[in-house]
Amino acid sequence: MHSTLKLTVSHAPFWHNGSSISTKSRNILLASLVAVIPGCYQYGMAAVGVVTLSIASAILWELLINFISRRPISVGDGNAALIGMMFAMMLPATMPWWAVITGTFFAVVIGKEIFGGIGANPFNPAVLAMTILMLSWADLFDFNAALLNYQFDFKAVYPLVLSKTFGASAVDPFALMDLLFGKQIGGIGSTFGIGLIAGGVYLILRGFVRWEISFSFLVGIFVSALCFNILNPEAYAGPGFHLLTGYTLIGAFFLATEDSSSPVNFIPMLIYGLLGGALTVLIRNIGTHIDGVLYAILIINLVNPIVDKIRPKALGKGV
Amino acid sequence: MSSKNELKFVYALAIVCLVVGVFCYSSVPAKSPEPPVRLMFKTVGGNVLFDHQTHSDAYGKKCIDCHHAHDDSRSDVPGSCGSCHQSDSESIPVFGDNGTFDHGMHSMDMGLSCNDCHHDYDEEDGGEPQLCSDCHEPGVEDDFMPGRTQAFHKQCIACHEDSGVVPGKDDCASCHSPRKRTEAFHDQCIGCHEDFGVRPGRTDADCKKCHGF
Repeated sequence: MHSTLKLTVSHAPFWHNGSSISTKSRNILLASLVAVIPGCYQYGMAAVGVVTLSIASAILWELLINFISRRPISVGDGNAALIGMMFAMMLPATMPWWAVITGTFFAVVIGKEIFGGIGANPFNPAVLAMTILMLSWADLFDFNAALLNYQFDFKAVYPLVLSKTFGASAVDPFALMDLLFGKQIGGIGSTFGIGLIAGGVYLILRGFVRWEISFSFLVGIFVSALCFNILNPEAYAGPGFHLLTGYTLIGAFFLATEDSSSPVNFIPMLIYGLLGGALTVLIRNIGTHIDGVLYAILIINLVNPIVDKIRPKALGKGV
Repeated sequence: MSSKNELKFVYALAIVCLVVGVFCYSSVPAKSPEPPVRLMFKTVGGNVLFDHQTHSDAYGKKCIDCHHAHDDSRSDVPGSCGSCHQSDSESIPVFGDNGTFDHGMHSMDMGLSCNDCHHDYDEEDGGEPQLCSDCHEPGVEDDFMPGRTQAFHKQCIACHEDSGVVPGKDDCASCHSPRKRTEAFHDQCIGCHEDFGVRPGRTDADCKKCHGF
């Protein structure tokens, strides 16, 4: 229906406020380094190899698609590099080179470019690529098997496998402070909780990430994990454990908040985040998969266009 | 930063990352360390993560303490886990509390090592045992190795005798009618799994979760 609302704007020329996609990409890359560097320190050269190859191949895939589709070169906005970084943060340090390159192909080409490029992707490209790889080569993502040759000063078992297999009492040796400071095995940039929180808070304060999504995602996990824990404390670990293990924190601050696959209105953002958190715990506790964050994010990406239609605030109302 | 400079920056980033990535991948050794840090035993009942380093360093075990079943053809086969980790028949989760698979007997009395059963099955390696019937072959039995029927009879009847519910020899149908047998096995396994909240649902379509045995 034709809108009768009249908006008054000043005449050109307009003043650009300086924000750009490349600035945003650089800041998110910078924030992610706070979690990635400790991961590289923990896993050594192998992790550096995965991260750098992932970033390089993501950029090259986008460049290749730009050439093939005869569209303007878009890698300058840094989004491809960011996708490469997000993808690498979730991988084990022992991921073979061919899987990294295949994964970035799925992320950049299938997850983004095929839909029309940045802003048109319905799913988070890195999450989509991860789930395709996890379904195709599940053995590569068995962190217990992948990191057999590393020596740690903590219990070298993927915590979510323990809780899923042996119940809540099996994760008693994992102190929450240890989990927060990355004393757990997992993805290269997914385990150093305090770094992910610091990076996330920085992005929220700079306005690059909406706090509503991150906060509601974590609340969704906390509340649903608490309900399970109260119902059966022997079988289901507590909310603190779920908040600090697996892909929870990277999901809350870096993945669920991706621009084009998340809502923009206040209430929809809260619903989107809460739904993601609750689905994560449901999949972890009663689903067949070890971690539910990635599947939960794909599902909320899918419902994003619908929830964003819930009572949108009219532009200019009350001004 | 202008768009031209942004593009140059990303090109430089891609080249540097590519060079570093290739260097890192080529410099990381592909071989596993000797002795191993941890090992993963793959089984139909779930993978078993074995911390080799903890056993050798923290527990002060010497190589020979475990790797003592040495002969030329099986030099890499360690001794039984059960020789240290005592296990009775009731602790085998897949058979439930009432299951009578005697893990202790198989691992200690029979001297089988973990790898004899808990390994990644490969038909081409000579078909080492992983299923019950890999050892207890149907219709084949001798003084040492009971056949599958006899092994299963012992497994079931031992428990039934404890409860005083022993079917007569002629009344096969009291156990072996399809419905009775299914119910008995399901109750035996699922009852216990349900107590611990770790089970496939009764309507779970993934039968192989349990029936791989």
